[in-house]
Formats: sequence, structure tokens, C-alpha cells
Amino acid sequence: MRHKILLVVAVTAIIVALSIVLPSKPDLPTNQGMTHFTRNGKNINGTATWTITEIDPAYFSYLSNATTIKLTITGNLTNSQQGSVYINNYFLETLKVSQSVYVLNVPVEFCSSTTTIKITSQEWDVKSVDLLISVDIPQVPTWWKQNLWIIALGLLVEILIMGVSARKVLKWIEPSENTS
Amino acid sequence: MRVPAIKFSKVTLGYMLAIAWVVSIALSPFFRHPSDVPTWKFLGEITFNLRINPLPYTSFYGSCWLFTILSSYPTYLIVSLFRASDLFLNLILKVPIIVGDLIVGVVLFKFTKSKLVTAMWLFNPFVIFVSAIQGQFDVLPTLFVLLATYFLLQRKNLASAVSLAIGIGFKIFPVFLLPFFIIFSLKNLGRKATLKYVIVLVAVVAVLFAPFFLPQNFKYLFEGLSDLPQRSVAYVGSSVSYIEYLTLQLHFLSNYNFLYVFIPLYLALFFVSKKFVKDFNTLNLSIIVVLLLLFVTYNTMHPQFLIWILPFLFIEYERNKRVPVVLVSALWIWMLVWIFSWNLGSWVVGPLEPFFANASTGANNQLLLVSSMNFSAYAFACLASVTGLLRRVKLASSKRVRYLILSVSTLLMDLLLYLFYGSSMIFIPVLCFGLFFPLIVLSFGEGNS
Repeated sequence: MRHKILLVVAVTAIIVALSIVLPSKPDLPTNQGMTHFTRNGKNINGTATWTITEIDPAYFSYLSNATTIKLTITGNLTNSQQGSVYINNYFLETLKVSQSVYVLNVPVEFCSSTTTIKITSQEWDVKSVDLLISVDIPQVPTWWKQNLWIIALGLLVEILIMGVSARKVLKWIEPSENTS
Repeated sequence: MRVPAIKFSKVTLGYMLAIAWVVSIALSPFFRHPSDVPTWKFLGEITFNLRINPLPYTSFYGSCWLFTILSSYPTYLIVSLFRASDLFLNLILKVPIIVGDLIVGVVLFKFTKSKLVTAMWLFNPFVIFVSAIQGQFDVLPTLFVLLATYFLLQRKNLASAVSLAIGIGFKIFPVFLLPFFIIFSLKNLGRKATLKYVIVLVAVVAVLFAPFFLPQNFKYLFEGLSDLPQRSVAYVGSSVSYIEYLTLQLHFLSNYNFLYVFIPLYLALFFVSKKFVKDFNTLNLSIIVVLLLLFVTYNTMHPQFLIWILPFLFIEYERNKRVPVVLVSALWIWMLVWIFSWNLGSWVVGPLEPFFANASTGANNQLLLVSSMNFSAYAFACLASVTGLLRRVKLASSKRVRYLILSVSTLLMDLLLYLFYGSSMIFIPVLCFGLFFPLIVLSFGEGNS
């Protein structure tokens, strides 16, 4: 039994060491985390609203300094008409030029975890509205580095629990080993 | 000098486990699924770096996989203080999955006392591919369903209830097996024990799903079902919820497979099982039948799902010799073909799919359709085999003739589907489904008697 465990530990140690030492490029870009919320459009003749309720409050508390928000509206504004866009009743912009896609910068302080987009227009066939929230991760002070002791303690507890469980599993395997 | 030959009978379970661990652990840092493993990384990153609630992004699973990721991630964080390495992250995220593989091997040995079956699981290229190479966690719910079965057989019904609840906490499919566990418990342990079983199961499920019951998360359990607006997140596709997956995305009216095939057959199976499920063999059979039924009717079938059924097929093979190895091998082969067409479009399987071929998108849907039709034909053959339907079939007396029919039917079906995919000639899928499909299934007849 001992040499088997020794073999397993030795090979695992080598693989772990290799996986740390060998060069590897990141699997995903670490500079940006994005969330976007899309809603179907409406044909506006007066006022139309869309309410987004599922935004994480974290964006508006400690992440606000690293967060940018963009509103994308698709659907042509009819010629000679105009449309005004409001976020949570804050006036954002009045659009006049007819084009298929409008991308507007939204100040973070206009939004909250429940954000209502309101558009007033006499004639605008809006196909979709999309609120895109981006956070520039390197700008955010990482929470875990500030709470390193909690993370290390958690890991230690985890290792202890796994050690006890592993002993139980090994004991459970042993009778099978003897009959094999 | 002559090297003494090692006899298989001398190889202990411990050696097999050690070798399986070494093989899996050696492969795991250097491979990963193109989108899922980065998703696990993303979940760790938003939780530990940004303190953003990760639950909405994994709401189509239970909470157990999220807990597993968040338990593994701190090891990566501590190591990243010295050197951040994605290779190490690949490894550390896969460790619980690889341990799950090994324990499934042990439980299979406990069930069958067969080292061959244990080796067929531990050194199965498909299992290694899905767990150690891709990093899919399907083995974990499978393990807990297997443990639930094992403990129920040992009359440890509370341990069984806890195991099944954990399985449900990982993925949805164990929910569909629950009625059969209850029937088995009623027949073998009595009403009182079954009531305890159900109470413990519900209590553990409630604890595991407790994060969903927090006010800020509750809607994510149902979102999609209640027709809430679409939500999408970069890196993570989570526009559906656990409940939505549980109902196999019922709100898609085009989900004919589920509405007209799964629901009636599942209900029929349930009512038949009330008399049929008596002992372990029949419980194992009902698990296999439900899972195969899911495979041929589920509208978003993924290759790694086959892992759910493999241990039960091995048990069935060892105990009753009722599932031909050639069928299981065919299932693997088609699932592997499927893996290589992974990013080619929608991953739909089922006999009705060709009728709605235009609904799929993707550059190479012909290949995908061909592999999914083959997989579902072999899954149907497996279904017919385990339920004993094929034992009375005599398509041809000669084995060679039957294999000729099998080959010609498969080839013609594949060619027709590939060449005429998406065309308006509706007779082609009708011909494939009405003639070649049954011929493939029936060609496995007699040989299984």
C-alpha cells in the first residue's frame, strides 16, 4: 500500500510543479468582466419603458469607479422625428438622426440594481434595447488579497476535512482490496 | 532477462486506482473545454476578486457545483501569490472530478466484484476525455446517484436519501430517477422508512438550494419559465434556470421530443414500474431506461451526458449480460464524433430532429445531425435491448445478414440525411425515421437472447 501512495504522491507533486512552472497564457481576458441585459423593442408612439431588475448591486457600490455602462438601442428612428432617452428618470440624450443602431454612454450614478429605461418619441420602431455593464477588473482592489488570512484559514479547514474524508474512503476501500 | 508477465487477476483495486489517478492528473493541466473551464474560472474570479454574487450565472445547475468550484479556487489563489498559472487552475478545478471518477470505480467494484468492469470504467477513454481532458463534472452527480443506489441496496436509506439529494444539487437528471427510488423503497423498506427517506431528501435538497431562496436569488430559480426578459452574460451562458432545465425547456413550443415522446413514455414507465420495480436489477433497469429516454428526447443533449448512464450499463452488463458491448461501444463512438463537432451548432438529438432540421443553425449541421441520429438509433437499440424487447425479434437468422442490414441501413440513412439536410423533401427524414431507424434497432435482435 505504501509504495502505491508514494508513487501517487510523487507523480502528483511533479505534475503540480510542472503546471505551476510551465508557461501558460490566460484562458480569458482578465481586464474586463461584462454583463448585458437585453429587452425586445416596441413601436413607440408616446412613451415606452423597460425595467431591468437583475443587475448585481455590487456594480453600484464598491465597483462603481471601475464600471462603465453603455445603452444600445436598435431600430430606425423615423425621419424628421426625434426620441428622448431617460435612465431612472434622469435625462440622457435626445436623438434626431435616423440610424439603425445608437450606442449611448450612461453615467453609473444614473443606474441602480433596478434600472428603468424610458424613451419618449412620436414615432420610433425600437427593435431592442441592451444595457451593457463592463468592469475593468485590474482597477478593482481584489477582495481576496485584502482578506488573505480568511482565505488561508478556509483552505486549512478544507484540507483537514478532506484528510478526514480521505481516511474514511480508504477504510471503505480496504475490504474491497482484500477481496480483489 | 525475461520480464515476468503481470496477470490481470493479480492487479489489485489499489493499483488500478493509483494508475487511473496518475493518468488523469497528468493529462488535466494541459487540456480543457474551450468555454466551460474558463466559465469556472470566471465564477471564481467574480466571487473572490469582485465579490459579485455568482449564483445567477450558474442557476441552471444546483448549488453543489458552484460550492465545489469555490472550494477549489482558493488553492489557485494562494499559489497565484507566487505564480498565477492557468495550467495549475485547470488541474485544481478538475481534482474533485477525477476523485469522483475513482470513487465511481470503487462503487462499481462493490456492486459487481468485477475488476474487468472497474477497469472498463477507470481506463475508459471516454470517461478520461470527459473528466480529465474536458473538465466536465457530470461524473459527480452520477457518483451520488450510484451511491444512492448502493446505500439503498444496503438498506441505509438515510445515506441513500442524502446522496440522491446531493446528486440533485449538482444536476437535474436525478430528479427524474427519484420516483423509482421511492417505489423501490416502498417495496423493500416499507412505508415508514420511505416517508423518512422522502423527508430527509427534501430537507437536504432544501438546504442545498437555500441560496436560491434568498430574496436576491429567488427569481433565478424560475427565470425563463415565468417568461421574464432575456438575460445574458459575457463568458457565461445562463439565460435559463434550474426549473427551466428541469422541465426540459417546456416553453419552447417546438420541443416536440419532450412533449410527445418523453412525457407519455415517462408516465407509462412510472405506472409500469409500480409493479415492475421490485429488486435491485429492476431498479437498475428503470434507471437505464429513464436515462436513455432522456438522451433520445432531450432537446439540448451534450456528449458528456453519456457519463450518467455508463456505470449502470456496466452493472447491467456484468449482472445480466443483457446489454451487448457492441451497442455501448457504438454509443461511445458516436458521442466522441459528436464531441469533435462540438462547436458546430445546436446540440440537438432525437428521432424527431430531422423533421425540424431547419430550426438548427451552424456551419456543419449535416454532420451534427448524422451523428445525433446515429447516437439516438443506438440509444434506442440499447433501450429496446435492456427492456427485453429485442429478445423476440428475428430480423434474420444469420448474424452476418443482420450486420449487413445494420451497415447498409446506417450508411444509407447517413448519406441521405447528409446530402438532403434542410431541403424541403420531407420524405427523406420520414424514410430515415420510418425505415432505416427501425432496421438499425432491430438488427440487434436475437443476438441478445
